[in-house]
Amino acid sequence: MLSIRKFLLINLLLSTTVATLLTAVGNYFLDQKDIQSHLDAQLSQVALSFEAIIEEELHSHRLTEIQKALNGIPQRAEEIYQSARGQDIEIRYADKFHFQVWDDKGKLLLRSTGAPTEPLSDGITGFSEKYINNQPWRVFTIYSPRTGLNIVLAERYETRSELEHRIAQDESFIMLLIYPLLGLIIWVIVGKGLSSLKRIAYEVSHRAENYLEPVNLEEVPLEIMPVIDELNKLFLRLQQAFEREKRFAADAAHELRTPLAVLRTQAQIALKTSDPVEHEQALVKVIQGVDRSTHIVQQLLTLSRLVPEVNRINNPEDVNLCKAAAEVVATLAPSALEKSIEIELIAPDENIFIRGDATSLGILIRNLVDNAIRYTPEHGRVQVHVQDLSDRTQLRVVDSGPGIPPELRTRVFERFYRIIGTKSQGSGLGLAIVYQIAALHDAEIHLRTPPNGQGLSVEIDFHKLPQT
Amino acid sequence: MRILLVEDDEQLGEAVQKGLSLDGHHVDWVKDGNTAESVIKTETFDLIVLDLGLPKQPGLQILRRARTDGLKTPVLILTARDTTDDTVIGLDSGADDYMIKPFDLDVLCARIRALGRRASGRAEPNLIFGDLILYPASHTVTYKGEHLNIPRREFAILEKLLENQGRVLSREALSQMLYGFGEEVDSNALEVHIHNLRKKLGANFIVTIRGVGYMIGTQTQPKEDRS
Repeated sequence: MLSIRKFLLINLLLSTTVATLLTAVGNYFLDQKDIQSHLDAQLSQVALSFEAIIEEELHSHRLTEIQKALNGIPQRAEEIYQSARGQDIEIRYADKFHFQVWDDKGKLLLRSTGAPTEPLSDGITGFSEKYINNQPWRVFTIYSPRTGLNIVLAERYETRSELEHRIAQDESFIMLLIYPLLGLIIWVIVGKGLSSLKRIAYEVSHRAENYLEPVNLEEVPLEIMPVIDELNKLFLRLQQAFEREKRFAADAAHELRTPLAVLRTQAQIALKTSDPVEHEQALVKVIQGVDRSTHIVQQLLTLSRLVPEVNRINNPEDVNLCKAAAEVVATLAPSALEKSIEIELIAPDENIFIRGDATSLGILIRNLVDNAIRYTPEHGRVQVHVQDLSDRTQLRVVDSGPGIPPELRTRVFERFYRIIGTKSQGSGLGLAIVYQIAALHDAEIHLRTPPNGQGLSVEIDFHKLPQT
Repeated sequence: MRILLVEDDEQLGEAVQKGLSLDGHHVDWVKDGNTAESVIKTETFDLIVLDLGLPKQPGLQILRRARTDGLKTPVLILTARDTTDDTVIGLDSGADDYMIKPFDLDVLCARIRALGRRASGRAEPNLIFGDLILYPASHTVTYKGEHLNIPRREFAILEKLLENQGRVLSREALSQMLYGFGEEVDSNALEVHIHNLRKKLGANFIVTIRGVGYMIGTQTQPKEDRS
């Protein structure tokens, strides 16, 4: 599983290791160069100093004295070392550094203690190399024109590599010390850097199940801000959904109280009365009350299935609007007839299709026509139009009822809203259902007054099906 | 008929038992699925009314098992589920009819009678509307006791309308009755036949629902001529 922490740690430690190694290797080679040039400089410097000191041709007497003094250097060094004990001076004599002085006739005049007697150089002035007893030496030769002498200085390469190794060792030592320290620091930093993530994860996962307050955005790192933001929005939507659900259940319960009250009262009347006609009437009203309650329950069920959270058309199909309307009118015609209401379907083009969900469209048409019949007084008329207009497909239900005053036309879509004064026994949910289904189909609803000035015209404008 | 009622709700069971008894049936009432299954195996019934919301066993399971075991008795299911999917599942599981709660007791009794007729293969009943009686068996129609002369095609249309009282029949559905006679039908034929029927039966017998079709008018009020 992907872990930022592991990724960071492994890669950071890996790269510091690689960097450290590269540094060490690089240093080693660069140091070599530096040491080389430094010691070479020293070598040449000493040779030049020699040349400066040896001013004249040396007599053999003088030579012997100087040679004696040279031979006594190891002892001299030991004396100084003893007297300098305690101080941090490393002057312990070591057999690393040699010189020879030759005259132009090839005779060795002077040499340092322990220097070989064969020529250290092959006569080449400047820097050169020579193998003596299978050991490589760095050699620097000057020819002094004034005195006619060849001054040769030589240093064993071993000396140099010893130095290189010592330096490399020291560097490695430091790196080995720092390396784990660095690792530890990286570990801590990564941990600290990711700690805010950890904290957020903890906070979110340890919330109580129904705690839906938003996560505090102040302590959220920039990188996951978008995620937490969306999470908060989700919490909000959930909260709203739960609120809606609660309100819905409460509203539903309230709405059913009245019809139930009617039921109870009428039933009690039936029990109380001794008049058989009244008795029968009361019982008939009980049945009517049950039908009314059933209708409300059915509408509530329909509406609950249309809640925004799950309101999506899962299988869009081409629905024949004319046929759907015909089915609804066929089903509701008997109830229209009972009120002597003239009902008709006007669809000159018998096959008009729109894209959507057949079931919910049927419910939409049914609710509109049902409303029209309910609110239209006896001997009125209800017309259902299905038309293909230039830029939309329209379903229009017109009735000759009291209509809806313009100022109330937005409120009627609220659940359970009923206009004061209507004697209808509807559920109050019809238009709320129509609204939801229209929204589901991205259709527009318009409430208007019909051309003759009386009644209500409900228009649903659907998107036209693209012509193939 | 001898009816087995499988219903777990006390009040509903009591009411249905009483209601069906009033219609002349003998009702045995069991209150859970297991008892129902054993009773079905040992006793014979003319019809079973099965409520789907039973404890201990989903009603549909009982039904499917009974059908697999060879039960031929007609079954009518009572259910609270109202979606078409549930209906399909119910009928596919072996039910002959279904009713959604709450239901009309009269409709329940009528459907039970229909199932009973279907099962015993009895002839179609006579169709009655007010003073009009149509006898499917003899292809005759009487009005207020007097015989009416109705030609075949009009009889077919009238019969279909009477079978579907309270429902609107589309023009297509009715026109199909005319095709059956193997003749070219012109588009006006239906209107002509309807017109003739109205002349004989009275204008308010058949109601036009413009744009949709025709239906038998409701009995309650006299209607103005709207054709």
